[in-house]
Amino acid sequence: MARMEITPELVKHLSRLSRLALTPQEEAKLEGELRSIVGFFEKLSELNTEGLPEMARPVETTNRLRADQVRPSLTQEQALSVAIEVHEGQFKVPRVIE
Amino acid sequence: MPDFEAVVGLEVHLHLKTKSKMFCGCDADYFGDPPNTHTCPVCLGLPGVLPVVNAQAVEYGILFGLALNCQIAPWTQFHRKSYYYPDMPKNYQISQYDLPIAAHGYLEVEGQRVRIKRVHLEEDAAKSTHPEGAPYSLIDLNRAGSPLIEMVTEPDIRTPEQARIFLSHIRSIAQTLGVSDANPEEGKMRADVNVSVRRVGEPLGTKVEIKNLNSFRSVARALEYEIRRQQEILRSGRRVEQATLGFDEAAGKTYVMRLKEGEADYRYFPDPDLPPIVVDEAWLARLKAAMPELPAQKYARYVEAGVRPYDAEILAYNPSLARFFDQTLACYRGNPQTVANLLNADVAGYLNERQMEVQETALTPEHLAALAGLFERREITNRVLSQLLPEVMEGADPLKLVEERGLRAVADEGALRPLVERVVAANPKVVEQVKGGNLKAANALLGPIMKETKGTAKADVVKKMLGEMLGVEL
Amino acid sequence: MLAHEIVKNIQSGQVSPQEVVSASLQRIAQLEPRLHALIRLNPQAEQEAALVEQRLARGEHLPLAGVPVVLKDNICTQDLATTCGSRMLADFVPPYSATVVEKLRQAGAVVVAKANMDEFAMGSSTEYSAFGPTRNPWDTERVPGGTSGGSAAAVAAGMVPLALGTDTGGSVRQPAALCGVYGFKPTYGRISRYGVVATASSLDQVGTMARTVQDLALLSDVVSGYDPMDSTSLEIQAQFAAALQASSRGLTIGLVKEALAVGNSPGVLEALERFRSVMEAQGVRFVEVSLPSLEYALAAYYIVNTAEISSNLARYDGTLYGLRVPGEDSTTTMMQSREHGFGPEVQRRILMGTFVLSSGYYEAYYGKALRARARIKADFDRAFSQADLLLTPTSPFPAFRLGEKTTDPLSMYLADIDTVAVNLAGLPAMSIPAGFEGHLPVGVQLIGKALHDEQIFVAANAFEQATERAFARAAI
Repeated sequence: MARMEITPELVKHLSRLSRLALTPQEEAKLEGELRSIVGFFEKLSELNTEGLPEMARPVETTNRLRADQVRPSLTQEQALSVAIEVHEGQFKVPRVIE
Repeated sequence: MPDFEAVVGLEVHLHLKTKSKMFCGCDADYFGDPPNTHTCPVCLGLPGVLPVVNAQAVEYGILFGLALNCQIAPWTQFHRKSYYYPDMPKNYQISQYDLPIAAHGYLEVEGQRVRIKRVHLEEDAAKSTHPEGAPYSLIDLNRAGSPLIEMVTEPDIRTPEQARIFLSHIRSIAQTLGVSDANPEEGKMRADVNVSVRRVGEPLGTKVEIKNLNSFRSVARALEYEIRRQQEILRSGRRVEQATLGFDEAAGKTYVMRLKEGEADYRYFPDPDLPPIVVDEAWLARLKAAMPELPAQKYARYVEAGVRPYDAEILAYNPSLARFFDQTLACYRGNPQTVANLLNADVAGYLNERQMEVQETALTPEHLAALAGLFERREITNRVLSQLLPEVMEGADPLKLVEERGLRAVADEGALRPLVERVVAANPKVVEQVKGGNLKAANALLGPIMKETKGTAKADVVKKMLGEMLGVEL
Repeated sequence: MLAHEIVKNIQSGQVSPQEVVSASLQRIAQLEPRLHALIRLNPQAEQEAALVEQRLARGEHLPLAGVPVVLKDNICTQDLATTCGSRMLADFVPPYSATVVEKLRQAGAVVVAKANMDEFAMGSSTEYSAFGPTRNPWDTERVPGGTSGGSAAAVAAGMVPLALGTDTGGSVRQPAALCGVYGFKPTYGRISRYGVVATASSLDQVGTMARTVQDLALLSDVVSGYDPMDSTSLEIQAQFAAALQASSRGLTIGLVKEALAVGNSPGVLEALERFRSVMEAQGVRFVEVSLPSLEYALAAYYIVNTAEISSNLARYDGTLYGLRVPGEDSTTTMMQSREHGFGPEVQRRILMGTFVLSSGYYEAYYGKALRARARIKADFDRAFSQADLLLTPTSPFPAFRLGEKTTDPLSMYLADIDTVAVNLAGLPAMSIPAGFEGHLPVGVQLIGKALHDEQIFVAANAFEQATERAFARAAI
């Protein structure tokens, strides 16, 4: 496992990638916290995992498929009941800039 | 420009023709319905929801992969592809990554093999609209979670026309299998294009991506423009910049949508909510047995029956014409090429003018067979056939028409002689031109003869007689 | 009153569902100011009790008739706000209910309140709730544990006899231990996750909490079972109540060497000793087993946990629903909404999770953690060839003081050392009240073979019977 450096640039990059705004104070604090957490993760490099599969799921099941049948949808009113803002039956959201 | 070569790859998205969505039971047919009336907590991406895979979508994926001669993955799983966008309710798309349902296939286009890199299943995003000048956007989630096949080719395509035909073949296959309506006009099939240009023998050039092409013709036109543009850049010694482009239909030009800043980090990881799918031999065998005859197989069958490859390919890849062709052959004992010609030329012309499918007309296979027979036995001329076609398309029996109107071809020189002599006599100036060496002028003599005989006079016989009379070789 | 007593008394007509629910609400009113175990009361509780009465009158069989229950606030309840202990969802009202909620309603239970929790189920003390911490009924200067601290406190304080929580890395078992109640996490897939707000999808399970094994079994039978809305749901018939008939004689329990080597406080060691001697007297054999890769479980766990969190919480961005802090465009809005909607621990984990999944680091961290997971599972499999059940402490120490661990995130993670490996391997486990350290309860953890959850109940029941429920009393 590579010795990973948590730098201010990396924190900024992660902040952008996760769409999480951070104040400069938060960035500084997080840098230290992430550094200690990654240091803690480094422990894993001691464990020999050669030849082992990547176990993404704890219990092995396969082919959990659903028959192609239509089930009732929510009404428009029900769907929009959670909306922050609504406009003519649609979710109104801040402008998307390409 | 023989020194330059275009390298083109295609990325196609097909909307699957399932009843319900990819991961939930919402009705997948939302066309024309009010916004947000085909949603549920799952496709809205609400807190706490879980996806459940649509079995039919998986089968459609396998069928499509088989039709493209792919290897079907014996073990496949879904991955989460992360990116933030308002039309992605979960801000990740459930898709496939390193083990797609099908891979390493091919499709023959005009005798050339285009390799299929992969075929995988994924869910569609919601529809977002951006009202002009407004500080907001609007989201309709009816489409969110719809089942899609994504198919990616290797960069084996070399010309815009090849790309167009390839896409047309993909549409035919999808329609033949019944996995998708595959029409770009209804948004059921989308194609993005990757294109780069290089001097022959040199390494690959910088590639650009062209998106939002809404028809196969647009694909071809966009490629034509872009290939030319890149060639000019390379000729002038400059470099092509990596970018995502759009296509301006009206101007016929590509334009930059955004410059590529490097690969997006999608942070793919296996979706823990969805157990993997194992496609065993028994399942594959069942699907293979249920496969309808594919265009490639129809093509082989038609060629074997004596149809010219060019015609065979057109018919084989047009599901509705192919169906009609087979029905006609079932009651026709002549040369299949004759029927092929009729369908691809005369009938196709009629249909294109009216934007119709052959099944929407009153033409019957029996009548088409009769028409083909009359023509093949030379009992009617080409002109008469063209005259009769519209009525036959509207349901008239060609045999009846020929009998009632006396349209049988006349080849009897004796019967024709008086008329030919009369026309020659009536057109001395034309005769002089012909004798003087202007053979094309003889067409002015043919016209009246044809008119008087209502097109039944056989043109070659008339020409022979004229030639003899005038002493020239027509 | 215990749940099974309530059901019996309601069925015999001695008491009505409304009376029971009313009593629960009164107790809540009395204790809530001190404990803050709850986020919101169900305003429909009394009406729902009346409906249960009507159904009983019609002759319906309701295994949980009139029993008041509390649900951790990350379990969706239709038309009742479900906040996940977060500002991000402070006003979120789901248009649907979780499958476990439907099952509870079907069985005649009455949801009286949504319980407090660490925000989005991240933490070990319920101090990370956006709505203030919950206090341990045994000592209100101390934490109840987390993240299902509210559920555990509500049961321990006798507000309700039954509660549901969720357990991602110990979040039902650890608060159960710290509050002196039973907390059970089933084999992954035996209780439906549909409608349970996801923290880490391959680790989360709904857990059940109660003050006796019989009550725990009653609840677990009702909420377990196959759900077609959850692709990870297993088709296993729950037989927890039936398990109480079985004897523990002949069982072999493995003491996990590595869990004992950790610095456990004296009360914990004493509880383990007691458990062992009581069970040996019941004819249970004890052996020593080893889980050599246990020390790596915490690191592997937090990598998997944060990776899945970063993905599961991506949807909370102020676009469609939840908290929106408007910005000039959609990207700014997302960034601001998430900054304001999420507390520091959630933000830390999202950033960490994004990091371990990001291009260039996936193999070294996430890929590695998933392989370590396979190794840990293999260790468990080997241990289970030598024993039917495994025994460890649930927590190395009893309830700590409020504020004691919140300054150092890592120290909070280390509190999970006994429980996380179980989630990685998808195994069933239960925390059993087994002693006290001074006035603070201590629990021991029994881990079972995958799908053999019922065997844990057999052993827990034997211990409870033999000790005459000495450790299952209410705190207040």
